[in-house]
Amino acid sequence: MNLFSPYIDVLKIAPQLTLVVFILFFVIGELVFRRKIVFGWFSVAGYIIALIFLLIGHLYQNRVLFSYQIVEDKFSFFFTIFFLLAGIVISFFSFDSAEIKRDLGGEYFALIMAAILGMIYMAGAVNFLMLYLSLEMVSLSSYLLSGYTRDDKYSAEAALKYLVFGATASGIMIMGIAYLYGLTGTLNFSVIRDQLVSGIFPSFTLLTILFLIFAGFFFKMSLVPFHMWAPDVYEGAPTPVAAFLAVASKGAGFAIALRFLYTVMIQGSPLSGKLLSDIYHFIPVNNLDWPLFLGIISVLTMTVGNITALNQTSVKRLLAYSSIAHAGYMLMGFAAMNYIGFYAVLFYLVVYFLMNIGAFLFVQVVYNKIGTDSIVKYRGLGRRTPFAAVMMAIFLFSLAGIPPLGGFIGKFYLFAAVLKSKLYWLAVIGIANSVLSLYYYARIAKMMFLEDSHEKEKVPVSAAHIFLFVILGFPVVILGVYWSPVLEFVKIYSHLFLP
Amino acid sequence: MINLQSFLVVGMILFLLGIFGILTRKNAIALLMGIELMLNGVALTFAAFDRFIKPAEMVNPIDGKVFVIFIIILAAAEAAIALAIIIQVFGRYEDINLEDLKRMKE
Repeated sequence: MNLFSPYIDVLKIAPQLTLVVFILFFVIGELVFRRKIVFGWFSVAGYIIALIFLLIGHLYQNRVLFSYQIVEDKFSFFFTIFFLLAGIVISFFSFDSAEIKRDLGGEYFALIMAAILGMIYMAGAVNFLMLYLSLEMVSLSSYLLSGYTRDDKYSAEAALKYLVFGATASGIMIMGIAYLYGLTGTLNFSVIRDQLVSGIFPSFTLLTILFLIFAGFFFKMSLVPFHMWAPDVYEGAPTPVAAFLAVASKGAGFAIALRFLYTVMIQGSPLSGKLLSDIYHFIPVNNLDWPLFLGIISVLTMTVGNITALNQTSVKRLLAYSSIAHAGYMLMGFAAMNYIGFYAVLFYLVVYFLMNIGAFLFVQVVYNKIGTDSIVKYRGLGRRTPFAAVMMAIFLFSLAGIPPLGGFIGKFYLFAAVLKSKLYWLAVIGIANSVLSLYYYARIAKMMFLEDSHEKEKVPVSAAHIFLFVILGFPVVILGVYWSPVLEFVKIYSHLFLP
Repeated sequence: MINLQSFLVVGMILFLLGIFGILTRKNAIALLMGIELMLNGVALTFAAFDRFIKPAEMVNPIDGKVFVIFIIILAAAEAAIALAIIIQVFGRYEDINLEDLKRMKE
């Protein structure tokens, strides 16, 4: 295969092009349509058309596009579906959000779509240039989205903090990329890999470079030294945007980190079907103990997330810390460095998608009615909105990892991967953290069902939100007892391709 | 004599000055300047590597130049967005000093 053929076939990126067309349409359509909600339906249509193009064009073969900038393989296919579905769910989520209702217009859906376009490219990037551009595309759209509410001062403050953190993290990352470019003379993942394997570089320099590059990844995944932005931003941003950042943006971070670690840094051939259940080794860099390093980051992230979540008074902030803790759990799959760990991360992302957006959706429903997300106001909600509260309880217990729900199965595979690699200390700390997290999830459930308040007025749930509760809640329950189809899907699509 | 090291040192000084500014300054505009300084340090590093690595050792000789151009473009985009957000913040708080935006830390 000619690595640098200038052959460009734009039809091969039909799903992405569809999104581009819709983004441009929203910008122009803003001048034409008076009823702004119509853009929501257009954006749902856009994602569905992109999905159809994706399924038609997907020929189950790996290919490299645009002079080795992006790759289309099973892994990127999985994440493209993930992001497009996230787009559909977030569009429905935004329909009846009191925070953004007044400003809901073409530009809101255009920004969400632009972020998703960036994420799709992130999942397929095999060149540092493309990685940086797509990461910035996601970041820039997210800054604007988190500052979207015009009346709310905290929203603008969140956007400013997000921007400062994000720009710093990506600046540090490109410094690492610059020095890696200086060492290897290329930005291309596979050429860098070949040179790293030959082991001709000063190992301390390489270690520094790797830490610099990880700064950008860790920021997107909200892992421990770079997690401080998450609570402020999730709390200040409009709830649909917080859910979007917690799930899609974090998923994109995991996609790029998985691809980088398992194609560039891995010893031996990149992941392929032949290596089933093998233990992998990363390229040794200055005697860095990879499982120990990733394990420590994972432990720190989940512990910091869970302990800080214990005494939060705002549910949105609590969910932010819980999503940090979940990033820590998912990092266990990295630390295990075996095939189970790899697909366990993808499986957990699927479950996390369902339960986390669901939990944020309940916050939105309550906010629409009582205008706050303070945890004490959740008293007696079990009576005021029985259906949504029961769904919320399912999401919370699934987040905590209680057995008959999807979250338990997700955690089960992560722990299985860790145990297979004999990292018993990591498994023990992970389980202790799971138990700890049950406290604050159960506290919300207790507030809703066991405590009473003098407020008796019903909390209404709009049709779009009921629809979302159903399509998010039932899979969480079903995945707890019958998960093999999703697991098989994830196994098939956890294959990376590096030419 | 001006060699690769000179450029790398200047680039690294710019980068570290930028980080220092971000860590110490509280004014949003000063933070933005720190970010710009940092990005320019990286751009200089990239340009220097692009100039001094022998073309024979490079896989794709325009990689570095392209990256520099994209850094500049994205720095401009980021500055535009940052200024828009800063104007929003100022409109609500009458202040752009990050220290005063304490609400989030309560």
